[in-house]
Amino acid sequence: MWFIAVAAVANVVGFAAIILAIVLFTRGNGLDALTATRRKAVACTLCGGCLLAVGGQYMLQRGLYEVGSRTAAMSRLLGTLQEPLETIRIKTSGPDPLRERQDKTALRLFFRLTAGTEVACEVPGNVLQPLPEPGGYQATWQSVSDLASTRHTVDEGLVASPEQIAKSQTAARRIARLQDWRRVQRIEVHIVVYGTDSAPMPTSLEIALNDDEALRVYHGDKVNELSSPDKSGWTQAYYQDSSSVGQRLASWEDVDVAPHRLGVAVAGVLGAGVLLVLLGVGLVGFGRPPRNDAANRSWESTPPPSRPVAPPEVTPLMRDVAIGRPTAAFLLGVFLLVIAFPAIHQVIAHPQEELETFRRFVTAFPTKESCKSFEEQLARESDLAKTVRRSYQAVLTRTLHQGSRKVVVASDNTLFYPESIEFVTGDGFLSPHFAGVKRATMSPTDDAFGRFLTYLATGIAPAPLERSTYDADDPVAVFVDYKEQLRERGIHLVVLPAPCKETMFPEKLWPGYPTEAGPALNVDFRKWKQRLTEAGVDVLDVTDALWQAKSRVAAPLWLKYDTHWSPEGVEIAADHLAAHLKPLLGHYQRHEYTASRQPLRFVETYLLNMLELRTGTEQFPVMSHDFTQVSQDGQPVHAGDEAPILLLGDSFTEMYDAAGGGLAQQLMLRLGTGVQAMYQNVETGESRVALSTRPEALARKKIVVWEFWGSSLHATYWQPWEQVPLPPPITR
Amino acid sequence: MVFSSHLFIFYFLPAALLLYYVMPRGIRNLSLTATSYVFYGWANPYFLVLIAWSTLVDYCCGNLIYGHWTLVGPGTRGKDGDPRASNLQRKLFLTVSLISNLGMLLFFKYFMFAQETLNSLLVASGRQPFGILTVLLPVGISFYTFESISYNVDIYRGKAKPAIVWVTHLAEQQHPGRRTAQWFLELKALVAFACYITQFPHLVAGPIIRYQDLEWQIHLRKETLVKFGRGVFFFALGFGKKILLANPMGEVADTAFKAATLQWFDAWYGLFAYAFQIYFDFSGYSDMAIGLGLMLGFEFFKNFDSPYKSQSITEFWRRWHISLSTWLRDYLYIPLGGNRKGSLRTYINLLITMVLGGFWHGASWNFLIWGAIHGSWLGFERMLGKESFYARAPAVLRVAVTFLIVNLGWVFFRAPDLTSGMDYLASLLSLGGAVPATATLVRSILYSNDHILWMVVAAGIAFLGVDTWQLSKRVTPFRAVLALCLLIWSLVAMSTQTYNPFLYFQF
Repeated sequence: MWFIAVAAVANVVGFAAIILAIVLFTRGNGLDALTATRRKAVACTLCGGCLLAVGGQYMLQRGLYEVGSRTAAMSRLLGTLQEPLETIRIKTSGPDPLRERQDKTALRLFFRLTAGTEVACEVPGNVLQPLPEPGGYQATWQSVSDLASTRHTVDEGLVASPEQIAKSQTAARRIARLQDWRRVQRIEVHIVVYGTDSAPMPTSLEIALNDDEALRVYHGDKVNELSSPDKSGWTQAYYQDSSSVGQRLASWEDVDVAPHRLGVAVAGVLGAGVLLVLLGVGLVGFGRPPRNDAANRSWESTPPPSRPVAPPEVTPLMRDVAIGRPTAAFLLGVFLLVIAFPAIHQVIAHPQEELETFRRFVTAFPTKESCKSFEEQLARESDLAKTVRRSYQAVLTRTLHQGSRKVVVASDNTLFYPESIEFVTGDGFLSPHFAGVKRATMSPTDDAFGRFLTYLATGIAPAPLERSTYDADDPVAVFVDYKEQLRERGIHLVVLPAPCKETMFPEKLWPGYPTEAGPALNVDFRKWKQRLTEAGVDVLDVTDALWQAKSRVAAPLWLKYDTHWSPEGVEIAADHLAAHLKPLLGHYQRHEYTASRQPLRFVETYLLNMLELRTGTEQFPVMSHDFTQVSQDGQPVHAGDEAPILLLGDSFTEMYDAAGGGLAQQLMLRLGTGVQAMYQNVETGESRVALSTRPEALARKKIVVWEFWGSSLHATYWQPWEQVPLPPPITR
Repeated sequence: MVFSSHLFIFYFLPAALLLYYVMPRGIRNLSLTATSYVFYGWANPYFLVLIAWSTLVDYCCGNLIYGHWTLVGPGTRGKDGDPRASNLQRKLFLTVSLISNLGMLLFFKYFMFAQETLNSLLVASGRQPFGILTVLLPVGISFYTFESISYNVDIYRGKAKPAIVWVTHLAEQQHPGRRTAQWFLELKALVAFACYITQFPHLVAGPIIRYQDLEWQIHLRKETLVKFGRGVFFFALGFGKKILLANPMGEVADTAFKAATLQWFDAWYGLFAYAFQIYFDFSGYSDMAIGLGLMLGFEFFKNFDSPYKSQSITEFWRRWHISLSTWLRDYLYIPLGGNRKGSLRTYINLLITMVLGGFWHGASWNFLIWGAIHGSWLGFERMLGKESFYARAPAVLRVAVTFLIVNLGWVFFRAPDLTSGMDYLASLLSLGGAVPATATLVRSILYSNDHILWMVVAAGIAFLGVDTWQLSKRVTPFRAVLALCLLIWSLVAMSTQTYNPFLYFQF
């Protein structure tokens, strides 16, 4: 920051000095007409200006080069982060029990994810493949995630129920790409050597991802060593990384640029420039002729004799104003109190956090993104804003049924999502007009001016613009392509668009909606279905079935304060999907699953959270629904890679899955065979991305059901409908 | 940075006021300029290079046009004793200034539009289009380039003097007989000019103020308790307009304009919502700008005068965005010949002025159409002797018809593209064919309780209310309490709203 500031000042002063020298020179009508002193002044100012300009330009270009290089490195990094996470590399320093007693040594890894999930695993030494470099080992992420369990202790061994182990393994598997590694908040590493109480342990340990030194996420030094009380069981070394994973990730964004070899020389040049300019300006003053020397006035700037513009007595704004001083003082006092109080309160309440936030912002080179993120952080973390927001929203919602830009509150307090209202009322999502709007809304904007400045600084011609991924956005081609890819593997694709709440309950949203018109769909939805069917894609639309069931089933099919379906909605969808899948499965061995009804209370709901309101109030009582839990051997059932059906989905698939009542389990109950669920509660393409790193998940599949939120066909704020490749086939 | 944001209200403004008032009077301009640079650079730090460049170039050009510096040909003196540059130098540097300002404006605002138009022509003729180079639009560039242009054009016309003249004059007046170094005076003048261009209250969305109107204030303004109090009053009302009226109306308008089809009455309702959104958004911004100016001792000019009470389009343009319409009149309409070259030329000049004025708002055919609608209507009323064809109707009807015409213009102003604009127009006139049942669902947002309430309040204030300018002339303790309550209410409401920049930030 200071570097650029000094460079900018040097540039401005340098160029100003050059202009001054030129002005002095031209006003003298040539060197001959100048006095000796003024000649020296011109020379000094010109030389000083040139030195400052040259030094300043060097510094500026250097600074901008660094910024440009960092930007380029960031782009490369973002590209790298999209790659699948395949291996982790471990490097130890000092004694190496892993090499000396490989079969007796194990590495214990513990990850805490940002969502609070903990993943722990004990990787036996024989799973770690030695690398040629001393102390270097490698393990596939697959093997690590397969070994994932919950937290363990040395004394008690692995302490986890099968359910916890499954949860932990799922969490580990979700870290499928390098990008996902950002979910890891903290890492702990231990090395255990069994069968001895005095094994020499490494002094430090590093972990890098995909064998990439730049992606080193952990560097811990040994902090402690313990052995079993009976002196024969084990020895364990603890390692601690002083920096958090977040800091490590931040350091990925650093880029090495050549050090300033010319630092001292540039400082010298700038110093000399400053001195010369000061000398020149001083000489201008000394060499100036007396002010009343009319003969010489032609070359100096001349102040005019008259007052330039007479200020008006009073401006229209302040004419006939009648405000008493006490009233003005009152306005001023209260205003200052109101605008200053929140910041002061925040600083007093959270001095460390505020200081850290400011420090982080000020020390980094300011960019559009950093300014925006800093601004959002201040607004988000303000205690007063949070308190006031909740109370005010509660009052508005209670008195006026007022929601927000993100939530619409219906007259019976059912909550709706405005983006889905846009889906049903907006332009057809297949229209070129909509495609243009989506591209314009979501395409990453390129700052040509910024790139031009970088070009000036580096002298390197800017790379051609990358083609926007939104150009590849095609909600038809993406399904056809996936179907073709799966067909080549002998797998059948079924596309299941999950209806949105606004499609199913338009009469709740607006009582005047003519229900005889059927479910509220985007004008292009049926056209989209037809195009897919014509292209040979098997689309199962459960909208009509759910619409008809709405009047038949007493229980609500959707959650009142959420965008997702209720357990009843899931079951009806599962009925239809199972009926559709059965003939496609052919002959298969049936398994027995047990079904039981379990109550479920919905304390946290998505849309109510968006309003920052809570359930349990008179207006929004806690909702409870019974759901059908599907279990096997007394445990909620979750099928693995061996299942013949894969359910790829989003949050609609995730609903009730952990408790054993999700769409996958309902299908298992109805079909009597395994249905593996793979879902990402994020954007549309994510579950396919996750699958692309899991070849074994597809190895035994006969059918893939791709479930997605129908409304996302129209969403401009989500990722484009891009084609994603399948994982490579497993060769046996 | 946006006035109606957490950062501005609770961090930037207290810091800027503190920094301003703790500084000695002599360097308050510098302090204000520095804080204004932070304010401006917040949107994108790169843009600071642009505004700094523009300031430096226009400052130098002003001095050269005036004759303070002589580079080309010998300078002379005018009858009043003021220096006068050679004609060549005056013309040369006026051209440099215009090229610099209009060049920036053309590149950053119209380059993409030109590329897209060219591409559509290429595609139409069956050729390969060029790749589009996206250019980010620097915030407020339309406003500060217009101010810079007016500075140099006024110096050229002899209606204004460059910043250095006042600075030198003041130095002599304040310290008679003391010699101040010329470089120091030049620096002070540059800061004064930069303060005029960049001061944050009017930097990003006007009002477009001329240098000579603000010059004496830059040097001799007085910050008083009464001014500050009135500034708070202005700011509170402007902030209330933005948060409580413009933003909810914006939700309605956005919903209506995003819908594929609408029933005609829903379309009119959405359009009226947009009319109130843009009025309260911009008028609110202008009030806040005037209020902030007053807090810093500046006295700006009126930018809005209850425009929806106008009884003709000619009157509308005397009341709507007054600083832009007077700028267009003085620097475009009059140089084109104004009304001095016969009736036909007057109509053509009006049309050209309004079309270019429309185009100034943004690079799109829609803005050209909007400008053309107003230009033709102004010409039509000029033909009728500056009166509307409905001048003899009752006043209520005159206001209603004018509002209707203005609203038809807003269709193109708001629609994202020409196709959408035409579709919306078809919905207004019920020409869009059968309307699907799903179109009724937008009513859940359009006619929510709060939106109906704010629509009524907005209409009441727009048609029957007293404008802030008049209301703040007499601030009684009761009004002061009401204004502060409104401010606090608006701040609370702001915390529940998402990021909502002013509409005129994009122009």
